[in-house]
Amino acid sequence: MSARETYQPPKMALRLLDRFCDQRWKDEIIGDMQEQYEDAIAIKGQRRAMLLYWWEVFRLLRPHIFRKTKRQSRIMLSFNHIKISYRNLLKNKVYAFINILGLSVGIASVMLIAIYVNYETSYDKFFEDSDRIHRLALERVYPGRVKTFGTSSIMLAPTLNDIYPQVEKATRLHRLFFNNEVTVTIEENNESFVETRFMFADSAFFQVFSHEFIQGAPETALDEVNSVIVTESTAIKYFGKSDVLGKTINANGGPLQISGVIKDVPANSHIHFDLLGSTFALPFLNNAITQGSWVNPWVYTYVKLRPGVSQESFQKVLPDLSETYGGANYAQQAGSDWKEKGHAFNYFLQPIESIHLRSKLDVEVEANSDISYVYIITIIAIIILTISSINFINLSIARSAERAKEVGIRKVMGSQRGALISQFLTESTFVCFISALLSVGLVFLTIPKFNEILGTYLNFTSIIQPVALIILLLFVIIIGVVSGFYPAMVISSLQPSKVLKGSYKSSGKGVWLRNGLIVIQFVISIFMISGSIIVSQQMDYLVNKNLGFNKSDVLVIRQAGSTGNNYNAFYNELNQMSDVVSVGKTFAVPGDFLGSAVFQVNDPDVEAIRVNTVTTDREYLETMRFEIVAGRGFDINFNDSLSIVVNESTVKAMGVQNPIGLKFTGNNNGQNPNPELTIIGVVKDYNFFSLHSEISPLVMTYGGNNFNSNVLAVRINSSNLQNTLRKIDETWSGYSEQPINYSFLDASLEEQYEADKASTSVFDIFTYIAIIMSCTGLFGLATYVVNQRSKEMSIRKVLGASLPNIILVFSKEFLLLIVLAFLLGAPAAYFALGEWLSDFAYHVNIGAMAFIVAGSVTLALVLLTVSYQAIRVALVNPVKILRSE
Amino acid sequence: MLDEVISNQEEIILLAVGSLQPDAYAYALKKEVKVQSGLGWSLGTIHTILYRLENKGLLKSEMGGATGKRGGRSKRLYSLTTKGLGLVDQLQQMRQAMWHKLSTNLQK
Repeated sequence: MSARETYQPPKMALRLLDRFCDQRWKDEIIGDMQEQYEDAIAIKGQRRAMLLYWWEVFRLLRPHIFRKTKRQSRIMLSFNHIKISYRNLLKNKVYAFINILGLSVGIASVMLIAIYVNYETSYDKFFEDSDRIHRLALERVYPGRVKTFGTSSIMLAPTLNDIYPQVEKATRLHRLFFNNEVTVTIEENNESFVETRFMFADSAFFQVFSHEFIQGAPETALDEVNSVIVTESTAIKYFGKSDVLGKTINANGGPLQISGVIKDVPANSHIHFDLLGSTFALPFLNNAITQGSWVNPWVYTYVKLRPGVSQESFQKVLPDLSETYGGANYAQQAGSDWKEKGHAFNYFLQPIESIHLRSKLDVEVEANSDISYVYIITIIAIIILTISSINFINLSIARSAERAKEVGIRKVMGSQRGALISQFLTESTFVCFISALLSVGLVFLTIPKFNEILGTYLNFTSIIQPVALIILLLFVIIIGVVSGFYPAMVISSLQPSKVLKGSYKSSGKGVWLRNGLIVIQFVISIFMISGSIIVSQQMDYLVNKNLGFNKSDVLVIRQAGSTGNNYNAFYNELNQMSDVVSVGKTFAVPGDFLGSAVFQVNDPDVEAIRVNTVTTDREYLETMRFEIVAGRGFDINFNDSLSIVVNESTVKAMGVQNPIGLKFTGNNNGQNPNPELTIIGVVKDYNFFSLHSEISPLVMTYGGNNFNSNVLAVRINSSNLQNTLRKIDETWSGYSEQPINYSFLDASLEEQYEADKASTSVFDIFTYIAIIMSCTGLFGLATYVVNQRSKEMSIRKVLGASLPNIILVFSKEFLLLIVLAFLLGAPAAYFALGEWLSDFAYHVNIGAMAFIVAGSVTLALVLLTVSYQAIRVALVNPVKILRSE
Repeated sequence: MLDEVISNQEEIILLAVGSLQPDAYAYALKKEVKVQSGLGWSLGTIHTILYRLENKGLLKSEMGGATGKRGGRSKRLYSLTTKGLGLVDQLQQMRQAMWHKLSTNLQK
C-alpha cells in the first residue's frame, strides 16, 4: 500500500470534491476518480492526469451530486424567488417604474456609448492587412518653426516602390485642397452634378487598399490617365444602374472613362471618395513629377509594408531616404546650405488604424475625431452607470421599511439570513434583467437620433450579436449583484422581534455609506451642470465672436468660373441688382483652405516668414467690411496690380514698426521668382479660418482687371431675401448650365463647429440624464428618511412646529451633503473644462457664474424633492402616526 | 412497442451496464463507452445518466467491490432491472423491424 501513497490526486481538487459532494455518492465517486487518475498517470503522465482530475471534478458539479442540506438548497436560485420579485414589483408600481426606468436609461446609455466607442475605434480596420498599412506624414522644419503635414512629396511613393524591399506597395492619393468642387457632366443624359468627393490616386491604390470591386479589375483600374473609378451609389446617381463600366463622364476639362465600380466606401474610413481619378490627370502634379519635387507636400503617401516589417524598423530608414533621394531637390529650392539654415524634411509613419483618432496634422484627408472624445464619453458612461446603480441602492434601502414586516415574518417562520440575501439578490437581478430588455428597445429607438446628432453611422445590429448579448447578460448580473448586495445585507439583518413590534429603524451603521453615495451623486450632478453651462458659453462665444468682418448677409457664390465667357456679364448684372450692395471677387472666403508661401522683404533685418495668401479685389475688402488699420486698401484711383495688403499678424511676425512701403522680394520658389510686391495697407486681424486656430500671417494680393475668380462674395440687402435669391438664381441660369452653388457665410462658418456642437450636445443629453437620475435617487432616499423620522415629526408638530420648520429640519441633513459635494465637484469641473477650453485658441474664461448656477440648481432640486416628502408627512394627522406603539 | 422513450445517451449506458454487469460501475462504464463508441464522456455525465436511469427504475445498484487501486473505496455496481432488460429487448426488436423495412425499401 505504501507505493500507492505517491499517487495522491491534486489536494485542492479533492478538497473541493469532498466539500460539495453528498455523503451518498462520496465514496464511489472518489473511488472512481482515484481509479481513473491511476490509469491516466500510467498512460499520459502525472501532469495530464492532474489536469484531467481537475476537469472531471468540475464536470461533477451537478445538482444531484450536491450535498443536500437545508442551507445549501436555499442558496440555489429557486423559482419562488422570481415569483416573489414579480409580486413585489406589482405591489408598488411607482417604485418599480422609477427603478426600472432609471436603470434601463442607464444601461441604454452605456450600450449606446459602447457602440459609439466600438465604431470610433473600428476606423480603417476593414481593409485587408490594415495593420501593415501606414501613412507617411511630413514633419517640415522651417528655420524657427515646425509644421506637420499629413501630405508628403509626390516623389516618395515611386522611390519606396523601386528601392525599398521592405515595402510591398506604396501609393499616392490627392485631394483638391483649394476648391474641392468638381462639376461632372453626363452627356448621355445631359445632366450635371457638383461633386465634392472627387479624389485622385495612382494605379497602385487598390493594391494597398482592398476596396471591393463590383466591376473592373483592381490591378489595372487606374492605369490610364483618363480612367475614373466610381462608387456604386454614384454610378446609380448618374446612370440609374451600377453596370456602367466603360461609360464616359466629363469632368476636369475632359472625358473620363469609368474603369471600375466599387462598393461605397464604408463610413468608418478616414478616406471617403465618390469618384477616384488618376493623379496623372492633374497637370500640376505631373509638373511636380517632371521637376522631381521633394519640397511640395501635395499628395498623401500610403505604404503597405511587407509582413514581418515593423513600423519601428522601417521608421529608421526614413531619415536616410529623405536626404539621399530628396537632398538634391531640397538644395535646389532652399539653397545648398539648407541644413545649416535650419530646414529639415522628416518623414514619419502613421498606422492607418490610428489616423482617425490620433492624427491631428495640417492637411488631413478629412476632419478627424479625437481620442479624447472617446475617453470623455467612456467616462460619462461609467458616471451614468454609477448613478443608476447608486439610485438602485438608495431606492432599495428606501423600500426596506416596507419590506421589514415581510422579512420579520419570514424570519419567524424559520428563514435563514442566507436565504433572505439570496432572495433580495434575485430581486435586484430580476429588475436589472427587465431593465436590460427595455434598454435594448430604448437603444433601438434612440440610435437614429444619436446618429443624427453625432453624424455617425452606428448600427443597431451590432448589439444583436451573441458576444454582445453575453456581455450584456454578464453586465446585468454584475449590476444586479453589486447594487443588490448592500440592501440585501441591511434588510436581512433586521431583528424580527423589533420589526414585528412596529418600531422599525435600521441601525446607524450604514449611514456613512448612504451619505457617501449621495455625495458622489451630487458631485457628479454639480460637475455635469457646471460643465454643460461652460460648454454652452463657449459655443455661444464661437458663434457670436466678432471675427473682424461682418459675416451676416453675405452670400457666397462658388464655381462662378463655370459661366466662362459670360463671367463679366453675370458679374455686371449681379452688381446692378437693387438688393445687391456689393460683389467681391476672391479665391477664398473665411473658413476656406488657403495656400501659403514664404516671403522675404527687402529689409535684411526682417526674417523670412511663412504667410497664407489669398487673391481678392477692391470690392471684396468692402463687401466683407474689413477694417484697414494702417495705410489704405485697394483703391480704384491707384494702379494696385503690384500692391498687397497684409494683416496685423504679418506685421507682428516681421517685427517692424511701419510696414507700409516695404517690398516683398521673393518667395521660396527659386524657379518662378515673384514680381516685386509693395505693402500698401494693414488690415485688422480677422479670423480667416476657424477659432480653433490663432490668426496667422495673411497676405492679400490684388486680382487685377481680368480677375475671374471662382468665388464671389455678395453683400445683399436681406429685407426681401426670397426675392433676391430668386433673382440671383434666375440671372445665373441665364449664363451657366450648371446649377448655382451658393451658401450664406455665417451659416457655413457655423458649420466649422459642427463637431464641437455634436460633442457638446451629447454632453448636454447625458447631463440631463444624470441630473434626472440623481433626483429620482434622492426622491427615494427622502422617502426613506422621512418615513424613519415620521414619529419625531409628529411629536414636533404636536408641540407646535410649523410646516416650514419641519421642511427645514429634513432639508438640513441634505444641505450639508450638498455643500460637501459642491466643494468636490466645482474644482473638478474647473480643471476638466479648463483642459477642454485650452483646445480653442479663442475661448471664454471660466467664471464663478457657472458654479453658482450649478450649485443653486442642485440645491433647488434637492429642496423640491425633500420638501415634497416632508410635506406629505407633515400634513398627516399626528394621531394616526403616534397611536401605534 | 416501447414501454417508454429514453434518450440515446441513456440507451448507450443501459447497453453498457448490460454488457458489463455484475461489474458495471461508473469508471468501467466510461471505458466501455469509449471503446464501443469513441465518445469521451466525463464521469459527471455518466453519473447523471445512471442517476436518471435508476430513478426511472431501469437500473438497480448496490455497493461493493472495493480494491486497492481505488484507495480502498467501494464501487456502486449497477445492473439491469427486469424493466430495464425488457426495454433493451424492445429497442432491439423495434430497430430490427425498422431496419428490415428500410433495407428492403431502399433495394427496390
